[in-house]
Parts: sequence; C-alpha cells; structure tokens
Amino acid sequence: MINLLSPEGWEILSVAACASVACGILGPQLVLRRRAMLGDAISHGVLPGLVLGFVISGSRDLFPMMVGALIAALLVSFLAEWLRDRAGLDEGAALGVVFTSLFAIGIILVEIFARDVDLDPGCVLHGMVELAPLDQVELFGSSVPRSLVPVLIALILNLVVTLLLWKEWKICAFDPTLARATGLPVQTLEQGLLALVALTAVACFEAVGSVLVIAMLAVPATIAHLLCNRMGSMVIVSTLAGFLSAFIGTISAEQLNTNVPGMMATSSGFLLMGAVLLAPGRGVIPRSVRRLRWNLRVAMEDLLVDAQLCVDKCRPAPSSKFFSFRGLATSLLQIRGFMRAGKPRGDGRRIARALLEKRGLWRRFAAERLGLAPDHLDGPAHRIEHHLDEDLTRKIETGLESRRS
Amino acid sequence: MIAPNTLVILIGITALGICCGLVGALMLLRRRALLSDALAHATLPGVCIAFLLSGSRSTLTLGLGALVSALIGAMLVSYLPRFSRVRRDSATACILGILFGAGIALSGIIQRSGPGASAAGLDGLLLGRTAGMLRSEAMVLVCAAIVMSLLIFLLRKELLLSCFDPLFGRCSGQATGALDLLQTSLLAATVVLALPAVGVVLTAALVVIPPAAARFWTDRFDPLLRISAFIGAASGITGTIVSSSYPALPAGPVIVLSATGIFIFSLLAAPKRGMIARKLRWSSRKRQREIRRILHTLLLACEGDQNSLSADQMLAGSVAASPRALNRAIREGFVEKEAERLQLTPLGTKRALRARKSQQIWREWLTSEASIDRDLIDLDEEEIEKLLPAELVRSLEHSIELREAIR
Repeated sequence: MINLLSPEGWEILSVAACASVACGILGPQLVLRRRAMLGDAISHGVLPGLVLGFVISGSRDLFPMMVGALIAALLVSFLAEWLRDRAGLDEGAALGVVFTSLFAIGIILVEIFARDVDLDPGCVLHGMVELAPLDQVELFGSSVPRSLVPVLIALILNLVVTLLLWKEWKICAFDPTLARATGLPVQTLEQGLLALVALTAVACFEAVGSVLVIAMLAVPATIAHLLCNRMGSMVIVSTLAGFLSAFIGTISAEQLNTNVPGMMATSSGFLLMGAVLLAPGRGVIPRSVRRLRWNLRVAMEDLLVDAQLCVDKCRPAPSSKFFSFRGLATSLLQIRGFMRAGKPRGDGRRIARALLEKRGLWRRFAAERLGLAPDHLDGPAHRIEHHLDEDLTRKIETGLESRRS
Repeated sequence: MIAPNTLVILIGITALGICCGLVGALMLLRRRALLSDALAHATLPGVCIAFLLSGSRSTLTLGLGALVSALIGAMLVSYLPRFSRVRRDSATACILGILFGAGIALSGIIQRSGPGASAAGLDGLLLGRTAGMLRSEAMVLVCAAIVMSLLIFLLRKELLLSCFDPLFGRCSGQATGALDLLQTSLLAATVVLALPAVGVVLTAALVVIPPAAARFWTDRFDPLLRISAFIGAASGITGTIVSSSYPALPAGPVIVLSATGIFIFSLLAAPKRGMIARKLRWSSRKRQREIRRILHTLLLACEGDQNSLSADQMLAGSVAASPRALNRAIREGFVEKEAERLQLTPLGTKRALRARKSQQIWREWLTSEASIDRDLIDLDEEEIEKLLPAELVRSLEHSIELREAIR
C-alpha cells in the first residue's frame, strides 16, 4: 500500500519521522527526571482541552485546539504536583487521579458537544498518517502534506528550545536543588518543558495519533538511557532511535498491510529489546558473556592450582567429566598448552605457583590484619586469589612487611 | 423503581468497584499506581492475537488473551529494571507505549484482512460499554470480588509485609516472588474484568482513584483496603444511577467522575489529612503561638516591674500577634484588659511560666544532645512530656538549674 519509492511514500515517511524525532528530542528530559509517564498522562489529559477548544472556536482549526490542549496539559502537571506536595499523595497516584479524571471529563464533553462531529477514537489513537499525501498545502513554494506543517513546527521548536535551554535543563534534570540555589527559575523551566511536551503531543495527534506520542516520548529516550552516559549523546541517540523506528515502522507497515504508528511503536519496542540485550558493557548478553568468561577463568585457575598441589604432594591428578564446566576448563587448558596429562606445564606451572603464593599471602593478611579465625581463612582466600592483581599483591606484601618491621 | 437490566449492571459494577478498590489499595501502597494504566493498555495485543488465532469473538477467548498479555506486560515492567538500568517509570511508560502500539498494529491487520473480520468487538475495549453488561458478566464480577476479598483477607499479614517492608519479609522466609506475582496477577485479572465495562483508560482510573481517596481517611492497612473497596463500590453505584437517569451520558466516564467527586470530597473534608482539617490545625497552631508570645511579653513586663502593657503597644510592637489572638487570650482568661491596659491573670502567669520552661528544656535538649532527631523537635509543644521521655526531661531540667545556679 505504501510504496517508499513513490513521492507519497516519502511524504508519509517524512511526517512519521518528523513526529517521532520531535518526541525523541524531548524524551530524554522526561526520562532523566523520572517522569516518563508524563507523556502518557499529558496525551490523555489534553482531551477536554481539545474538545473545549473545538467547541468554543466552533472550527477544526488547529490553533484553538492547541491552546485548549496546552491549558489542559499545564493543568495536569500543576494539579498532580499540587496533590503530591500539598496533599501528600504518592507521585504516580497523583498523576493517575488527575489525568484519568480529565480524560473522563473529555469523553463526557465529546458526548455532549461534539457528537455530530466524528471525533473517532480510532482516529485519535492512530492518526491518519497514511492519508497525509492526499491533503497538500503550499509551503515555501513547494507542495507538502498539510499534517507535516504542525509536526515540523513542533520539531523545530523542540530543537531550538532544547539547544537554547541546554545548560539550564541539564541542571534541573540532574540537580534541581543546585539549580534553585543558583537562582534559576526552576518552576518556570519545568513548566516550559511540560508546555513543549503538550504542544508536541497535540501537534503530533492529527498526524500520527496519541499511541505514537506515548511510545515515542518514552521508548527512544529509554534506549538512549541504556546506551549513553551523557545528556548530549543521549539526546542524539534518542533522536536517531526515533528516526530509525519511524523508518522501520513505515516499511514494515507496508509489508504487513497495517497502520504506520502501531508498527512504529512496535519497531521501537524491538529496538528497545535490542538495546536491553546488547548494550555494550551493560546489556544482558555482554554481562552474561563477561560472567561466563570470568567463571571459566576461575575454573581454569582452580584446576591448575589443584593439579599443582597434587603434583607437589605426589598424588594422582583428579579427573573430571568431559561434559561439565570443569571438563570444558580442562580441555581449554590442554588446548592452550598449560596442562598435559593432569600436570601443569610451562606457563601453567607459573600461574599455579603465583596463585598459590597469592592464596598464602591472603591467608596471612586475613590472619594478621583482619584477625580471622584459622578455620575461616581457607574459604575467602580461595575466592579472593583470583581477584588479586599485581598492584594489590604488592600493596598487601608491603603492608604485611611494614607491620612486621 | 429500578429496571432489572439496571439492577444487573448495578450489581456488576459494585463488584467491579470492590475488586478495583482492593487491588488499587495494594498498588498504591507499593507505589505502583500507574502500573494499572500500563496493564490496561497492554491487554490490546493479547485480545487481537486471541482473535486472530481463534477467530471467535467470545468474551472468554478474548479475555484469556488479554490476561496473558497483561501478565507478560507486568513481568516486563518488573524485570526490565532488574536486568538493565531502565528505571521503573521508564519501563512502565515504554511497555505501555510498545504493547499498545503493537495492539493497534494488530488491530489494523485484523481490520484490513477481510470484510468479515471487522474489529467491531475490539473497538468496544477502548471506551467500554457499561450498559451492555450481561447477567453472566455480572456473575463473573461478583465471583471475582468474593474470591479477591477472601484471598486478601487470608493473606492479610503477608500482603501487609510485602507492602511496607519486603526486605524483612524476605529475611523472615516469605516467598516474596510468589506474593509479587500474586498481586500483579490480581491487578491483571481486575484490569481484564474491568475493560469491557469501562474501557482502557478509565480502568486505570477505577484502580487509582478510590485508594487515593481512601488514603486521606486512614493511616492503617486494613481500614485503607476497606475504605478503598467501599469508595470503589460507591462510585460505581452513583455513576450507574446517574447515567441511567441521563441516558445521553456514557456510564464509564460518569463512574470515574463520581470517584473523582469522592476523591475531591475526601481531599477537602477528611479528618486529619484533609485540606480543611490541615488548614484549621495550622491556623490554630498559629494562634496558640501568638497567644504564647503575648503571654511571654506580659510575663517579661511583669518581671520588669511593669504590671501592665497597653494593648496598642502589644499589637504594634515586635510581638507579631494579631488582635484575634489577643481576644482569644482574653476570652480564655489568660489576660485581663482594663482600660486598654493588659495584665496577666494568675492562670496566664501559670501558662506563661510553663511555656517558658518547656522552651528552655527544648533548647537545652537541642544543644546538649548530640544526635538530634529532627522530626521530634517541636518548639511549639508546651506539653514536652508528650514527646520526650520523662527521665530525659528531668535530667534536662536539672542541667538548666545547674547552669542558672552557676550564673
């Protein structure tokens, strides 16, 4: 249905991408402030504002609806904060009470005032991005989809404001107390952020629906939070993730013959899954690989030490089953040439000796400096020997020496 | 006179309100109120997949699908923060967005897969239709409410512990994982039961608002559960009755708004935690403080061989007392007023002396005790014995006397 090579396909992709990038820029601010649910709350809570804006102006123009939605969004955040601070309610509960109540009011307003206009729930949820190319307007001399205009405005506004308030928002996100102490208008800055979130939500509603706003405010920023340690890189990665999920979502929606925003949210979900599993250093897979390698190293070292002890005491070497962790470690040692026929060889012997030395050192240290009982020395020494590197060994040695002298 | 159909809805909604109130109270105490919102949204892909797989639109099939996908969503929300550095709020928001998006995509597939397979039954899920509740559905809701109340009643102690001190629960050998799973499953089941009646977003409302309102009335676990269930049921009944007399209004939002109404009433009128009570307490404290300042000033004047002070002097000076406080002091017999001159009565002298003494003890305690528990300090409290142990008060008094003797 959507052909990406055609101009229509490009227009759909551009609307979707602009919307998700506009959300992707703001997302990190919410995630860093631990208020990721605010996107959801605001995109539900603006409903009465939208309806009232529509009823009062009597037209489907975007501007009055936008104003109404802005007011409603600020009301959501203001009421939730008031309930949290003044009435001592849990933050999540405060937010939940406010936005669901406003949503209920919104539905009743729709029933009372806007019955004849089709504010179709499906349309509010997933927008009509597929129909974007059908409705064109002139912009700077070229014909663009009408729904691209508000999305593009939101995108540019978010970009400009984020760059302008970069430092201020950063302080507010990471250390609001410091921000207040240095005289920043924290309240106003946070309200501004909320206003931007509301504005983005409303601008994206018509084009891509509220589902996408909820997903795109939270998911790309969470991906970025998994991958980055600085706010700058976080915003960039979040924007990229937003764009990528728009791209994948549009293509897969074409393949599966379904709606674009739903597939965009789904593909952002796959991206998030990828980030959780593969994030370098702290993803689930890198972490388990690291743990496995460490366990293997410990098993190999233990094997070497045991074998060395057996050699020293002229006992036969212990055998282990081939299909076990120890068996794996044994065959690895043999492949590396550290051990042959149950006896440490070459470098293997050196490593075993070094480990035995470390074990003895830790036993002495634990007995003399930590005052552990003799029968408590073996276990910890056995575990810690693997962790002692050259530096620490030297430090412990000198520590013990100085004590003795 | 209530129509039999309305009666069915009334019973069903009451049972639903009880379920939501009970589960919501548990979630509120565990600070996971918004999980209900995420789970309500997360049911959509399950419903769609169940429909795609079975092709039937029976409530049981779709409900089973919804339950499974809500449970998967709940597990993802609780495991993501454990396995990665995604925070709990981000996890909730992400799972909500992703699963709901996936549901929308799936329903798109259903809608476009053929003319016979329109998603008419699925659309009802988004906004719900209370008026279409069947007798069998009401029966299921009643059974669910009974089972849930029994379960919570039997596991009361364990749940209490898991809400307030899960670490202690784990140390004392409780199966915290199983309890966690139980509570999440209860929430998922409640959400799935509530969906056809009130729809996705308003389900979250029914789970969040009643316990939040109940929280104003009590500080204890059992009453919180009871009041929350009561408020859930009451808002259900009110909403159903109102919407049955104004057919133009959809029942779901009206039920939620009556819950909100009860919430606002509780916010204002609850004793102790309510806004009005807080305001009253605050102003009475302020007045007491002002009275004490007046008495203290008069006492100083007495000691400085000046038997009385003029009222203007009292109110204009640095005492910072309002005429109201002065009138109150006069009414309560602490101060006498004769021809615009103020004078302490014996009663007033007694109270002024006592206030001064307590303040001295407080100060002594603040300066002498190295480890100060800041929550305990309350310079306004005259009856110091209420807050500090008697022995400590005696030793503090002793040290004050010692210091004065030295001086």
